[in-house]
Amino acid sequence: MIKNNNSSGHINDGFHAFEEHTHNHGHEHGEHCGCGENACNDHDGSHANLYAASNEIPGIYSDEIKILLKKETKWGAFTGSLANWIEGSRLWLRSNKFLIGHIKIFAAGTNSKTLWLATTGRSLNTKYSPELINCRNESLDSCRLSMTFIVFKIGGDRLKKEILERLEENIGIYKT
Amino acid sequence: MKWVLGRTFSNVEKKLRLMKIIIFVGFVGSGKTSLILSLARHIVGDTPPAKPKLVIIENEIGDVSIDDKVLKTGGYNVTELFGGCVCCQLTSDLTNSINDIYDKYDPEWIIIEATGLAYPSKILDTLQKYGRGMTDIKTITVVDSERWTELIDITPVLLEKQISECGIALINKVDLVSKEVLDQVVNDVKKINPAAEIVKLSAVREIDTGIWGKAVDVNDKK
Repeated sequence: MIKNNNSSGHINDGFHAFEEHTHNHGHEHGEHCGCGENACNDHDGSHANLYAASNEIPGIYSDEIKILLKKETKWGAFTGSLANWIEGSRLWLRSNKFLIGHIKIFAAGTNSKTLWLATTGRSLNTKYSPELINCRNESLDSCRLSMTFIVFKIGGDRLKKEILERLEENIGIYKT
Repeated sequence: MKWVLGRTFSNVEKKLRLMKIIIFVGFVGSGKTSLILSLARHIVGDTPPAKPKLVIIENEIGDVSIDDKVLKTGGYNVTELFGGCVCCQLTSDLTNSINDIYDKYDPEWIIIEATGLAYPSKILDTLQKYGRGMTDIKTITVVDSERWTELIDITPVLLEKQISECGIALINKVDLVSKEVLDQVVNDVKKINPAAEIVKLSAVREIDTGIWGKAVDVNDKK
């Protein structure tokens, strides 16, 4: 998949860089080298028919990481820490006039215990898997965390930096 | 000879049933996944059958997929198409996925959840050109009434294209807005697409089964 940092210097995050893009190297069909272009069967080069105006493309940070918690924590408290992390990020984004498209978090522990949190910048929605609903007093010391932050008017690199800094403050050490 | 004929007839009979397709489009966070969960429950019931009656195709923005995990937690059969280049994914990968699903599962329904930045027409064109075994393709755009005013300022081109190309507009989150705001959203949607069927609902509330029956002709819950 396309990563945030790419050699051509623009932030891409999986989407094309539109009119300004100069395409001077080749690709195999479906290849994503990170430059923001690729070779497709019906590629017309303009992308105008694929997405909206180029200023409507969001910054995206999307990743799956392993979290090692600072100390063993109960699922209930861990949910609170995740909520604090999202809330801190939300407040920072709003105070800087960035528009949150969607923030989605999926935490997976052992034995099918999973937790989903999402916000569009308003209220925070939380859902537990059936295996976790009645087991929130059980402890965990690590989990796999999938996350996607889609935010308008901010670049992907800056978004990633801010999100991960707050993650470390609120939750613990992460490993990509 | 009789056995061969019997088998041939059986295969022909199997492939006479065509899949019904529902394409869900809508801005990120508008509630597509929640509404799909509701519709999926309506189609297959609370306990998904051993042979899939419904397959959901997920196309998400980003390097990791989250919505598919939520849908799989509900026990549904989900095929992932990661985000990235929609002009690539939704022509070759989507076509391959649809045709694979037709060959392997032969479900009655396929629901496609597009990314929040996709347009219905591109997907529809791809399906009509390259897809096999399909009938009755419906395009649904989910509209976020709570954030409508804010979003139409920031991404007017995207929202207008998503709405202008749909057959059905589901105006979601009606529980979070006043009647005046809701009326304004409905009027704006009608201006963009006068032909669209408009349905007002809230994904967090129990959705009247009549809505799904009316909107997408799904009346045969088993």
